Amino acid sequence: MAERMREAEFGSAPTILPDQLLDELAENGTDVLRHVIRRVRAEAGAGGRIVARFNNQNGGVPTAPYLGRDAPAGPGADEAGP
Amino acid sequence: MTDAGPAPVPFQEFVLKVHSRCNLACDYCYVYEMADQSWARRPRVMSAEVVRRTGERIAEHLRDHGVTEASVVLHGGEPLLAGARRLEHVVTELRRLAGAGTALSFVVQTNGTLLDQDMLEVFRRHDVRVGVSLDGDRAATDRHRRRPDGASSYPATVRALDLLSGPRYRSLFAGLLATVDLRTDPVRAYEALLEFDPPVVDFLLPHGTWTDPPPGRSADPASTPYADWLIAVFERWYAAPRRETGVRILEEILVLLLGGASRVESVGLSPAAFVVVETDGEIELVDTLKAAYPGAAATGLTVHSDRFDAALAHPAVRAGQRGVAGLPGACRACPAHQVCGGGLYPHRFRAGRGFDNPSVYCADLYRLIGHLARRVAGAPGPPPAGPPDPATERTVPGPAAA
Ligand code: SF4
Repeated sequence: MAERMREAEFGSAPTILPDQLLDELAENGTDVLRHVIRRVRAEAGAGGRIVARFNNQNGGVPTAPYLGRDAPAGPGADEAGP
Repeated sequence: MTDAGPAPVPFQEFVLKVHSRCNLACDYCYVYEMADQSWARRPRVMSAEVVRRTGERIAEHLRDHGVTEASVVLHGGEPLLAGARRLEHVVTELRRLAGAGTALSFVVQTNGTLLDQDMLEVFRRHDVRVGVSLDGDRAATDRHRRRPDGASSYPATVRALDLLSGPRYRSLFAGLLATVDLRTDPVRAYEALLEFDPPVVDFLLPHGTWTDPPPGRSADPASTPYADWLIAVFERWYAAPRRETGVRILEEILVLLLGGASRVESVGLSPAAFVVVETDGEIELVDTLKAAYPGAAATGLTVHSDRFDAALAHPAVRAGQRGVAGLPGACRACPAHQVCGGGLYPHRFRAGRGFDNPSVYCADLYRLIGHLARRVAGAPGPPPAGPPDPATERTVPGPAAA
């Protein structure tokens, strides 16, 4: 339900790159970029996410980090959650 | 109140102020040092009764909306002041009340000074992840994050991080959070945090509004000191031969540029789906609103008498869930708005005009996003037009032309 809601109400952000270039960067981009492309593709495959994670700008006190239940698997995905 | 926007997205993140005081006296803290001083009238600790009532309300909300996964942030003040036993009670009680069919994940965000083995054993037993605030090396941290008597908090935080990043507790390590200070060298700050091998770091922009701007942020849209600082971190992080850690704000912008959705409220247009419960049971909005004006986060609701659904109808929550339609007019006309999302809601505030303004960080956000877009695409050149001039709402030249 949540995924459908997101599709209907928000659409998706524009991708700045054509698919072909994305494929190329997924192969040859920096390690950081390849990680990000994996995440975007994994989330797109799972129907996207709808929840903005709490990013409480602290300054002294708390801020919640990623919870990342549905983060992409694979190398470099360890910033995700439990 | 009628609202033609999309159906509300149920809350899936509950921020519990388990303790309302802090053992540090960080000078940039929005809870104690900014406009709202409501902390002074709150109980120090969340009582067992408030914990139970909060747990019942969370269970009710998730059940009513068919949500089976949610997260709880143990927050403060400094949440570890509540003590290991009380925190253990909060976790077990909320999970019990949520019931077997609902997965509640927990994370605690702390300054780290009280994080010892006893505490970590409790967190390990209950799978509570731990994020720690630290601004970089000792010099950067000492600039702001001192104890009330002026002593450094750095050694105690480092001791905690040595434990947390060790083999026994490593799986609980959620990440490090640093607040940007323009006087700190950005690459040195990043590399100092890297020494603890964090799974993710984030750099937070200090709080400020148009009425009370952040340090070094002038009204001149050609000046972008915070973008320049973050771009230095980006270049160090992005060009590394292997990904050493995640840098949340930068990674979220990259994700958005590639067509994904943000996981954070500071960029992008994903609907915000979190709510705050204070130690006395009052239901509040994003607590960083406290940087704007006294009472800005208040809803008048409490877990004792109100369902979380009542908070879903609050105009600020609705604005955060309406995507483009919830943006200020000036942002809607901006070519970066899908990625920027108008920045963090509290940063839009201007006395007399409320929140219907671009972020006080508009020029920085625009430049940062433009830089990342060009780096990823591997091609020079600016986005098609500049951001609206926040002062006049005219379009001004983009970063490359500035
Ligand atoms: S106008 Fe400024 S704050 Fe608004 S979306 Fe554009 S860059 Fe962001």
